[in-house]
Amino acid sequence: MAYRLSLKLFWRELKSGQLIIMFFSLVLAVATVSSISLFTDRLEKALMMETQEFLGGDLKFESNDLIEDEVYEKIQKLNLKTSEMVQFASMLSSQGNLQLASIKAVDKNYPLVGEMELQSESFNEIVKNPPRKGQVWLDRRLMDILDLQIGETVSIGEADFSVSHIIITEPDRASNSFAFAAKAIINMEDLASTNVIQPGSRVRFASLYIGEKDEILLLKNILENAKQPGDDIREATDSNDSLGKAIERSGNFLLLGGLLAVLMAGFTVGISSQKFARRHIEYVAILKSLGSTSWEIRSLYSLIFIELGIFSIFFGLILGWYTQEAFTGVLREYFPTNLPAPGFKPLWISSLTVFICLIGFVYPNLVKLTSISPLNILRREDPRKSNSSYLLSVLALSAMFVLIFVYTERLMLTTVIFFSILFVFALGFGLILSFFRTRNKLGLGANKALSLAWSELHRRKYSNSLQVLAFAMAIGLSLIAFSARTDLMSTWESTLPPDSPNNFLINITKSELNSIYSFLEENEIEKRPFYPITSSIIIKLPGSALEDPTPIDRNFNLTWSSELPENNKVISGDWFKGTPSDGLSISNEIAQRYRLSIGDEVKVFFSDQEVNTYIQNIREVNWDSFSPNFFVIGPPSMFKDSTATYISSLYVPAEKKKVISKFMMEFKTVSVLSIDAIIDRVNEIIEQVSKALEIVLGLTVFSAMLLTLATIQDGFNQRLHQSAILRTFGASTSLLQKSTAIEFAFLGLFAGLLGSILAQIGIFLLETQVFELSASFHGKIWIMGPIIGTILICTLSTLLIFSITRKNPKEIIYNT
Amino acid sequence: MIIKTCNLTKRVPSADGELVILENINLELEEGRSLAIVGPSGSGKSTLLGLLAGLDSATSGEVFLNDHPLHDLNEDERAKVRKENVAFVFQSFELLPGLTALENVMLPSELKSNPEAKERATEYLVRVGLNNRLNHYPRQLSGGEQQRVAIARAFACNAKVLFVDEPTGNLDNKTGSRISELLFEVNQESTNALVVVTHDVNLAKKCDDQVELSEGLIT
Repeated sequence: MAYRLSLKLFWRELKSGQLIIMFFSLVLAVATVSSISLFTDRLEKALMMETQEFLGGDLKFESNDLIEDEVYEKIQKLNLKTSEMVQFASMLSSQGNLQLASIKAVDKNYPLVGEMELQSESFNEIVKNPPRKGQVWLDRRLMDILDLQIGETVSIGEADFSVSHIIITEPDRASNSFAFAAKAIINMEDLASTNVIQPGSRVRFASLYIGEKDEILLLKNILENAKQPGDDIREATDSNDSLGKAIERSGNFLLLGGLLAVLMAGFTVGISSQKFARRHIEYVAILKSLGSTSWEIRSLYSLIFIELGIFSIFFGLILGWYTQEAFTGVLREYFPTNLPAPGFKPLWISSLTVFICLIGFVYPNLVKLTSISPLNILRREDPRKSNSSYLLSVLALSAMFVLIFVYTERLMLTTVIFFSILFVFALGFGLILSFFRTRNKLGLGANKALSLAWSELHRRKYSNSLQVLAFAMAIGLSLIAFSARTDLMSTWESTLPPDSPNNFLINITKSELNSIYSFLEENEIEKRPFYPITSSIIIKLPGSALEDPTPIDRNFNLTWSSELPENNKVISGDWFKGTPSDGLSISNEIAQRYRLSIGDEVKVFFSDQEVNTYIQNIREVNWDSFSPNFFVIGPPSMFKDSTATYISSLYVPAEKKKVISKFMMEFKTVSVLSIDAIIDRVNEIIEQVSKALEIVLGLTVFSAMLLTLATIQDGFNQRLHQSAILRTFGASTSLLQKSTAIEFAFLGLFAGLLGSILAQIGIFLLETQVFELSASFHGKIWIMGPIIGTILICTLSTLLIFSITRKNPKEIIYNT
Repeated sequence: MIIKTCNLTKRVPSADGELVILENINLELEEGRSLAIVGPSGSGKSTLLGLLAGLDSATSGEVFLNDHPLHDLNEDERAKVRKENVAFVFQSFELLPGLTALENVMLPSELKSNPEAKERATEYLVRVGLNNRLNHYPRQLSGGEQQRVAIARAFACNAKVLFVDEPTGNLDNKTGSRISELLFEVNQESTNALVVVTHDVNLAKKCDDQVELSEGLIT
């Protein structure tokens, strides 16, 4: 019964327009939230798929030894698909040519995820299986160095192989000890016949796994427990490459937009539901006098708002779906695979948003509505302030806090944003009240527009304060969104300088260094630092005699340099002094992960040597820079006898692209990794994401308009009544129009200034706390805020007063 | 004549076609005299009052208020005529809730830019017995007191015609009688013409002239 009545009332109210602002606000909130979460969800999934393919599975375990039987048995019990491979370096020979290459022997399950793109004699083909027995796949570089053609024979150790295909791309191309060496892939069944692996050979045994999240977690636990020094566990979720970070940051930008739209929707719904409740006071009084209990009435109204919530979610999701289609449409071409279907997160986050808004901003008004005594209403007495007024404040504030938390997922950030908003509110309220604290001049000042406006500003100082704060919120949030689109985005883009290195040179031997320097000089390419690399294992030595040495569970590609590399900053300790007392420099990630601090003693194993040393300094590394970065750096004196290959980066301008081909021809054993494509892709994705942000900005501004409209509408009836009385006594419409315009222009100006303060504080926090950029003064905001405030609020008020003065005063007086 | 109408007619559109509210109303009222408009609910009394006061416009016919042809004027021109010539007392008092009793009474004088608005308002509030309620807001006053404020407001602006619509309709009998006595008492001291719409036979009898409306026609 209550359900039917609620549905009837819901339709009636929706048709009469009383629920329309709430409905639109919620639809917009859902559309914004769902489009953003659908978009980021699909983008993250696509990225995850790519990362998974890059790694070759959900988890990769690498070791210098085969997995122990006991551990192997435990892993076998898990529901996982596995692929094993053995990687080692060996000489390949053909027709008298020799070349050291990285050999990968793969089992029958290879490739576990993704596909191999291979080139046969005349065409490219996609395969999902390992090489046949007796066949080998080589990369293009190896083919060139050995001067081989498809179908010819190459020897690895004691076995001969027929070259069947050239490797174009492989799925598990994530870096490992041999990642950038020239590569050959053979079938695992041929490994024994090569007779290359002997006791003491440098071999990496790798296992790739795919499976459900829970199973992968169990696997990770097993492997973590069994892990030996030098073993490496990598998960697809560990992505910290530039693209991943770019998308994560972009997601932050978008979610910020979403949060703003949702907060404004919450306030709009709160204000509109207050008005709705006021309109229904008499209705409730009549229902109560006819015998309905408070509980029945509360259920009835709760149902109306649940129906409103469901409808809003439904239409919001449809709008959100089409909006995110616009986002993803432009991004589709940047992903090799189709964008995956979204999960359920957008649905539950949208639903949660709507119901938090309803509980926090609407429910207290319903409680207030249903707790009023019918006698109070029928006698037209003013109800006393009840406990529900406090409930309204507490629930609304809690809802605001919860909403911010749902979107930021960070308690500290939530607290900062929450209290910043409260601070601006308190500041605004205090400023307005102190501005109008002087005693009112007697009378309404109705003889002149200016004096009438001024008197109204004084007289309505409490409701005006709320209105100004709502306007300020709308203007401030829109300015933040605007700034996020323009200033923040360009600031972030500018963190990637135009002459960022776009090529990596890997696998350089010491003997090649001088020739490469000459080559670069001849071709006028700026020389950047060349870093030696050696593989090392670090063990933390005990601080006291009772402690066991703690091995740090991974291999490090360590470098040595007397200069602090660019994009690095020493945050603790001192950089190397060039004396024998120099220790190691580690990145803050490594310091945190392995609980290493300045002065800790460590033992380093490298190139059959071991050295006892200590942690001398901790660095902050900008991993986003497209330059070689290192977790561990040592002083040159410590590694002078170490064998090493070198790595460097280059910036090659577009017009000198041919230099790279020339370089590859001249230095055949050096691997050149072009990251132009990656940089372009990151930039293009950022550009597209910023376009998406524009749409979100549009939705946010629309939400701000709805909030402004709701606050203006809130005082509509009072203004309507006053204007009718004034006109009855002979006030002209122009007097009313002018005074309203002046009043609202002042409110708009005030709100604009407050909005600018809010925006500047908000942007400062975002720049410094969220996006890790340096804070800057945004002059545009201080000009735009007051101008937008004055124009926008003045226009809206003019529309309002026109609608009021069009009405016949007699009708207003007799019908209200 | 302070008020004169000629074939005054008001029709409004409705779902069943045009609805006749008033038809061919002809009446005249001299300065200083009082007129009661009586009739059953829905007979068009309040509509007639609205037309005579220039709050509404007629469909056809003529209405003159202090020689101003209201039928030829637009809303702003009628507002100017109202400001100079008329005052009102409504059934539901129509006081502004944000203004004190004194400020409510000052309002029409303020609109006329009368520098003595406060003095006149105080004088009339004292006259209606509210000398100790000057700074009270409407919500702090009883129904009878609110209607006294409305009467003080009507007289303080020194209008030529006072339009009163069911002044006792929202009050109990005792308060209602006191209010009607007060209304006529104060009116006798001025030279205002008075137009009263009422159901109250006793109140109507106090007026110099009476017209009865039935289904939009004077009977």
